[in-house]
Amino acid sequence: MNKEIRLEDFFPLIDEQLNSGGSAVLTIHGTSMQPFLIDRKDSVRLEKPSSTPKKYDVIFYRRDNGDFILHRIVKVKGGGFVCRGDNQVDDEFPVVAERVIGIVTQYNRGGDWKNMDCFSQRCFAFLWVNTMILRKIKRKIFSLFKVRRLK
Amino acid sequence: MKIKDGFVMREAGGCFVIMNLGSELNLGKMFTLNETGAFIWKSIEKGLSQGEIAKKLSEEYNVDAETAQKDVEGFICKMKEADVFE
Repeated sequence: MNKEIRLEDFFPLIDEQLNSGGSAVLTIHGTSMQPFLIDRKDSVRLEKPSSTPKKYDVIFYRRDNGDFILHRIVKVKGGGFVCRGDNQVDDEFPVVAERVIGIVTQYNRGGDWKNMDCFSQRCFAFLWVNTMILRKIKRKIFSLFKVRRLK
Repeated sequence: MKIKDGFVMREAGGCFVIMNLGSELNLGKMFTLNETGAFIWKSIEKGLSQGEIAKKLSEEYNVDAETAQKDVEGFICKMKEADVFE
């Protein structure tokens, strides 16, 4: 199949497949999850979560406006999940459990499938999420520098 | 000629997609059918024989019997390669 696939058109199929106990493979579009997931290069395998998603899990969900999002859970609160793209500094809350379509169980780079719950992946997630403040400061400094150069 | 349990046809994005429920759906490598293929698939689901399908295809799309027969044989061959039949 060569034509561009609109996720919106195929969402019912993805939903049916996940609800039947199967999995779905999607190619990443967008840069919000870099450096972990690269636009149009990496793929992910989604499954229906067998238990409540937890902190550091990467989930696939749909916003109220209909957008499909693949972001990481950075905190779990009473009202839902706090989610954020690895390449972003702003949180999204609440992402309620009912909006979660699937959870990323594996990702593919260069033809190799890697598990999300492996030690290295959990270490990366822990370090990346908990050093976000440093990236926020860096962005602020860079933006101030840019403003000064424009002046 | 019987389709294995789990294999279903769905319509999405203007095309017909063959899915194996409970297995994996890869949006980058989907098994898609054109209109003729979808017609043959539905006929197989109804339990029609190869000859009956070719006849119906010929009537539906106003093609000669030989062309219809070849289309049906080609389709079934591809389905067998994909291990869709029992």
